[in-house]
Amino acid sequence: MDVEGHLVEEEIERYSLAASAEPELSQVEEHLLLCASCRKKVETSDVYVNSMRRAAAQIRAEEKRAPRWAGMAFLLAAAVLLAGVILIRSNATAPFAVSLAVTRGVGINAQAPAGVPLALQLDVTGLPAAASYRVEMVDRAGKQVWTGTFPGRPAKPLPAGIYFVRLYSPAGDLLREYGLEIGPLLK
Amino acid sequence: MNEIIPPLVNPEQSASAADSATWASLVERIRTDDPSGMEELYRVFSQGIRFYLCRQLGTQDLDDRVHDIFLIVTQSIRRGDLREPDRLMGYVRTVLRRQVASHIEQIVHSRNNHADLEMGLRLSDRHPDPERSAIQNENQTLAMRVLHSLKSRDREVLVRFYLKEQAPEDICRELDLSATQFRLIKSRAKTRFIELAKRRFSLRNLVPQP
Repeated sequence: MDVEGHLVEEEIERYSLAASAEPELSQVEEHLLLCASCRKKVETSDVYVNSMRRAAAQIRAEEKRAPRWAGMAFLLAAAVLLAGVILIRSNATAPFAVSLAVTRGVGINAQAPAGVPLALQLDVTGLPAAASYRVEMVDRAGKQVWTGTFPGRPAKPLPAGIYFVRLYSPAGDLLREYGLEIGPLLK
Repeated sequence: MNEIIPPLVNPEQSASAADSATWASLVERIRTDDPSGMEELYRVFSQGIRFYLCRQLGTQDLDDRVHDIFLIVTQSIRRGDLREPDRLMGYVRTVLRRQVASHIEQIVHSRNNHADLEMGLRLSDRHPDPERSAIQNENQTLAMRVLHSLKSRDREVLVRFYLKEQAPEDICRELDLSATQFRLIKSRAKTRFIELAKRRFSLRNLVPQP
């Protein structure tokens, strides 16, 4: 904290990153109970950190799709040669992107086809910022069928049925649950 | 004649300015059912409690949850559970953390015991807010612009720090940076982001309002 007892930039950033350790975490949270100006700074920091994380994940995804040309000219010919085969094969196993968001009321709106990997796009609006979250998929009976991280690799292909995707904080706290119906696309 | 009780804490002042004797006075007023004590407690803590709960659980049922917290704190004080009145802030924080954990446990328990979809509960039963989503997407676009405007090394620094959560000292060692260079890269990126946000829309809309 600064000489006036307010949070400094690094403390605010660590709090937004969920990286504050005790005793700093206690000091920060107790201060935020009383100090409106520091709360405002944390709000802005949360927005910035969350935006940078999402953008960084997008950058990484773009980098993986676009190989670096510099210094790799000798691989370009091989890549072109194999492109036809890869394109044909990747179409059969390309992950299916499915957006999951919490909804009011009953029913499950998210759908995905059976038998293909699932690229989960989870709505983390309003959740504590984290570099990554642990994800667990369970079937209708609550049995775990897959675990991973978000952002992270696609979920494995699953048979038709009703599933629930659970999002956990790095500390293991359950933050959110989404419903997902896997089967033939109905729409 | 009613006694005029000075405000406990100026919300804009540092928390360290709070007088522990004044905390004791507040706790005593609450313990003796003095209405001014309840009013003071609410005035001092309500915004901070709302901030914490909103950040942890979202905006659903926020008013009810804030009310529950005050109920728990005042009942605890009247029972004599708060042994050190000058630790009132810490006590409120502890109550908040326990309530958040309890709420999440309840939802998980309900979820496990209600396999029937028609009766299932959602952990955060919030209707998607189109305005919030739009603002979030705008902010992500601004962050993308900031990242794309950087040299590849600087961009790598920020990707490792914000996405991979790599420790600053590891980033500096692997990318051959000094601590000062690392801080500058972060600081410039954040400044650029805020500049773009101010230009794109008014700063108050940078943060989606509950």
